[in-house]
Amino acid sequence: MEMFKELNPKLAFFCSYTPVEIISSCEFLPYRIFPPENTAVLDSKLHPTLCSFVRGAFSQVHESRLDNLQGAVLLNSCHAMNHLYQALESYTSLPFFYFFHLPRDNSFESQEFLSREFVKFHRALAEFKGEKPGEDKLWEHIELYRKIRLALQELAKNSAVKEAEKLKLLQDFMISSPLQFLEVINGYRGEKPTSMEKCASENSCENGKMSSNQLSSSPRIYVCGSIMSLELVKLIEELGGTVVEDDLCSGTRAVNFSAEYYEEALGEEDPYWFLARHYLSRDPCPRMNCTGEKLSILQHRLKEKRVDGVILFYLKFCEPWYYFGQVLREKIAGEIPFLVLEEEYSIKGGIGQLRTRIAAFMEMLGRR
Amino acid sequence: MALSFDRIKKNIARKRVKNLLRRPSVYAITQKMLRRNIITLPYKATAEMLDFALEKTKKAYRTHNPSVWSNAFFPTELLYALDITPFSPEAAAAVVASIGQQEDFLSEAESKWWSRDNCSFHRCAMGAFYSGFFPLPDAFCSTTHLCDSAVFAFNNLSQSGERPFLLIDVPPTRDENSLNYVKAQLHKIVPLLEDLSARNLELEKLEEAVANVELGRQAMIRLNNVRRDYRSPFTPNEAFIYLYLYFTGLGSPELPRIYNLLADEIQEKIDNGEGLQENPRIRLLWLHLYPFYNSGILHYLESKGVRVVFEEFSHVYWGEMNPARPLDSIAERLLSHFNYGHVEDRVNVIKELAEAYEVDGVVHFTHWCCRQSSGSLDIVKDKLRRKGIPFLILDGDCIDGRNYASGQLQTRIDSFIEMLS
Repeated sequence: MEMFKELNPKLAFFCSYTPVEIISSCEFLPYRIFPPENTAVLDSKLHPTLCSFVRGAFSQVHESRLDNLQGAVLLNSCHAMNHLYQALESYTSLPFFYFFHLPRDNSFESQEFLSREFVKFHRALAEFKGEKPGEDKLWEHIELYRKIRLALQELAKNSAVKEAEKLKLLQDFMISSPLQFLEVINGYRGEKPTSMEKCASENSCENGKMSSNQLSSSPRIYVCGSIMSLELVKLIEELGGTVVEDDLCSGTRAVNFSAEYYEEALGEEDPYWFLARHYLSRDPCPRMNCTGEKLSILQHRLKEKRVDGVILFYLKFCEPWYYFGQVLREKIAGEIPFLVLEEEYSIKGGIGQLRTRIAAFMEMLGRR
Repeated sequence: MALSFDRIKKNIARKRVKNLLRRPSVYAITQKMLRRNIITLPYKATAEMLDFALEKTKKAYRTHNPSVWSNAFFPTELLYALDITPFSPEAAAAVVASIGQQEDFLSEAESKWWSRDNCSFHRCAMGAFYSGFFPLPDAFCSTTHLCDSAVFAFNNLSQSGERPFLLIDVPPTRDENSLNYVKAQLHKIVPLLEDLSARNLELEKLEEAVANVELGRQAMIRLNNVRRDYRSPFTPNEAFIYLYLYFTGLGSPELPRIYNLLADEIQEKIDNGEGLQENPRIRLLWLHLYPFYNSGILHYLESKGVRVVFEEFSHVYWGEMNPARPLDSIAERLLSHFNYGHVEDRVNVIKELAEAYEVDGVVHFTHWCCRQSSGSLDIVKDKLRRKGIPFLILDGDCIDGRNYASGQLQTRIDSFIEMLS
């Protein structure tokens, strides 16, 4: 177990396509930035037409709110991320920065390109650490993360656990030491309920589980969109919705890898190629060139989960979700009630309006 | 009777005759008027450039020609080598705005989901597409560098129009891995374009197209050198007209011919004493694009004795193209854009241009929601300030006049001029 010793120096990451296995194999804690609700974005060095998640993330790192942060790795997943990298590099004094491109599809060319980017990233990080990159160690971390993702995927299927609770766990996964998190998640799935699971009573769900009454009567909601504050999901559930599935990079999508990822024998090929193949074949973010594929996945899930209504949330100025939202609306709005919410990452300022709109949507679904 | 191009534009704007835009015959008639000098322009090169744009647009509207929508940076060399007509919706949106016809298209797009937080070049293009004014192409072709909006807009339109969407993904890093990746995609896209044109790509034709880009590059550099003379009468308004050629002409024989002709004509005017008689009081470098509708911003600067002597978009950023290695050369060009990689690359180009054109200050016209050009502006501003280069940011919109506050901009310009004086 020596290799899984506590990972303390943090390396910040911002996008769910970041190969956390490489980071943790170099004994850094991959720490995903989720700007707190009160993060200032007005004084950001980034232009106001970039989304508030990116501006909030900049402020959080720039103001050095994180202990023992050694650096940051960013992917060119959208223009906002590119500018975030430029700003962090220009205005913070972290000792390590790395930036690389994320291809737009899962073709052979893209896998080849990304696997080579992963090799370069691993070399750079190991060099920063003063070590040589070790492939055996990387395979061990690939296996560790696979176990965690499998556990989280199973948790995501557990309809008795509230979505806000699932999302909280998924976010914890993105900021926790993997070995410790594996223990937590295994305990959480076990027969004996942990403190997180206990229900106060049959009709209450304060600690994360839903009663069968609630499951059967409340509208079944599918939530998709940009990275969102947990508060928004809590609000939907508070207003009577049962979120049956999400398509969020801070949620289930981050662990929705293909069946092959969970089944393939490890160690039989280049680990970088393995990672590239599976990150690119994961449930896609709409920034990928994947509209048709994404639509068919989504339509299948809406049927499978017997969804009553879809809530699309996009951050103001988040282009990938904004554009995908238009196609999605065209495809499904005639079949399933569809609510579009546009907000900043911190929903504090717009909470009243959101509450009214979500409550009206629930009421409308309740009458159907 | 000769008609000035400006007068024609004003007449079109007044009569709101946008229905004419979708008739190929209108483009053919206008071409004839240009060729018979019925329409007059300050430069023969500009008349030839317009002729070129009209020819391409006319072909794009004729359904029997293979045509594609290509974004600003798609390698049109491949299209010319396969006789596919490129149609640039971004340049077409600029033309639409210049004749005052953009508002209905913007409203049409806004009524169909698209908000004013989106790039108005693409919003206008989408409105024109939904209204049936822009031609339905055989495919939508885009690259991923510099502009995410084009990628997503083209993708959505390809879904609506049920046409293929062909994408070349360009990384911001310039190294062997990126070069091989882009080259591999170029190899892969060729058969898809061959299907559209119903012919095979002939190597000679591709080499010829790449040779045209190289000759065009040399002509553009020559033109830019001529413009370094303070007596050059060529104005930024005139330079921005060349957007169409720049976006859709790479690979065409017209590219080198027109730019060489323009360089000759400007040099001739300088030699004949028809250029500026005095060095302008204040010389500026203009970054990004400008409002294509009638904003009067550049005339306002002129009225204050300030002259924009060069624009960032006219800078030739790519290196020599080798026709014997056509796809390598195209890939290298795609990867070399100074405004896509590290922000330091853009700052270095600005400094280089500021020196070459001996400017007193730099103005950035920030097109609302162009995240690529504006995202890191604070960094650009800080770095230029450290080099002692005065920098002014003007917020506005290239196509949508509703995002243009002329009073505020004039106040900011006045303060900047005062500071430079």
